[in-house]
Amino acid sequence: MASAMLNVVGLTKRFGGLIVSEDIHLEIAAGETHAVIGPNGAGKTTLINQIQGELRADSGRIIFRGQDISRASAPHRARLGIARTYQVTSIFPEFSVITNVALARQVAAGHSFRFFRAAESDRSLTEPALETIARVGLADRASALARDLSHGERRQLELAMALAGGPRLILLDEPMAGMGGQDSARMKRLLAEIKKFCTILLVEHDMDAVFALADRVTVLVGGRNVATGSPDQIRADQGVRDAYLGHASEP
Amino acid sequence: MICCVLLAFITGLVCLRASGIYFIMITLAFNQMIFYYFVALERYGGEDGLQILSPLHFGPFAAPKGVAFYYVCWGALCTSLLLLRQVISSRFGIVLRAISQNERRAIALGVPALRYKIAALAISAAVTSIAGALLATNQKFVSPADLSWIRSADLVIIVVLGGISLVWGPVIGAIAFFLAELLLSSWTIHWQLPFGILVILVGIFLKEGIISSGSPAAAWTRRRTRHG
Repeated sequence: MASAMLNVVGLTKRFGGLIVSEDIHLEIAAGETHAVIGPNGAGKTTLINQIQGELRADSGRIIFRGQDISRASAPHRARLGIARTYQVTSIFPEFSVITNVALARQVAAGHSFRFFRAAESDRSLTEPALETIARVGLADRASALARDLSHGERRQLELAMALAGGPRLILLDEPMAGMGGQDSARMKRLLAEIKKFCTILLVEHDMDAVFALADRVTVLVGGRNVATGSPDQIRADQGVRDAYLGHASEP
Repeated sequence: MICCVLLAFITGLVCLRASGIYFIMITLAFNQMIFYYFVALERYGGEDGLQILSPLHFGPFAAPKGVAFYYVCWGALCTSLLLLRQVISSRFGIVLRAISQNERRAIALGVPALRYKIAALAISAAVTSIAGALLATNQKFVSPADLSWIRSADLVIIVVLGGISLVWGPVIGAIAFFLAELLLSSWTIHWQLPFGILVILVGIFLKEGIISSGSPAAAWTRRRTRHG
């Protein structure tokens, strides 16, 4: 389909004898928020790693906006417009919040083989960075060091870094993981905003968030895509309930 | 200098694919390779080295001697420190520091990390090559001893002593190195023994070197750079 943002075709990945992705087919339309759910060890993060390029698939193709990127390096894919966040927050702890975000912006703007002008006072980087920081609600923490942020704030910062480059597709790996009620409610509101202008692949265990945000849901079990459909279809699917949702609702 | 940068580029292509201890070992291997290559070069004196007899020239200028040479060295030191400080705060410097903090994240943002690491290695080679040229001019003598791993180890010790988090850390390291050598060797001919213990202690207890980024001196520099 021409309007597809991302096509994953027959993706397979093995770690030794363990199959972590088995013939996964996935299509994400432009503007869609597509959730991927499944029990632990279903290969959700591995799927994100393969789309982003940290891992190479053994076979199958990844097509981004009509272009086959299966062989492209991770930095190349990032510059084409694929951003991500990590399950365990990954930031630059020794930089301030603003430098973290300005750096993301700088990298997206082109190569950084510029050796003399001071970057931290470069307003063409700091001004858009401040805007992005305000958007994720961290404006009053802009000059704090990233390592001094709380867990929830780090997640917001990482999201700002992903947004700073103006990505076309964001891969979110459990953005609500380890968050308290207040933080996760804020993150949910934030994602609802981002969803309006960005295509999202969302891996998340918080089912309320998934069913509230996602346009479509894919269920992954044991590295295999067992179902794809609208949130309502997935909720009603007996196979999915047996495989996954049933477990989630157990005390 | 151009030769050094080229050499750094080529070896960097190989070395930087490894990381941590493997990077150190491969670099050492290249070092030994070049050492034995020059030992085997009969024409330039082989193992005995080569005395520089004719007066040296840099373009149309004769190499300065004595006090003038001392000031040339000072000039070279100050210029490289200022330039490096500039480089560190540039876009390139930010990317480099980002890679050292969290390489995986930098790659995910779109940084082709290997290229930046090679460029950093080349810059360091350029600076070191200037130091090498000055050393040869001063000694009026070049020998493979300057290529041996012992000489490299001296440089590493200087960096460990001074700390890697600040541009002028290695300067402090060099001062500490030569002061310690002077003091300890006037006390005993086995000065390297207490010196080694000293280096180990600094390595263990002052992980970032004598001058660390957390020290008051560093905070002072940071304030100055921010307002400057």
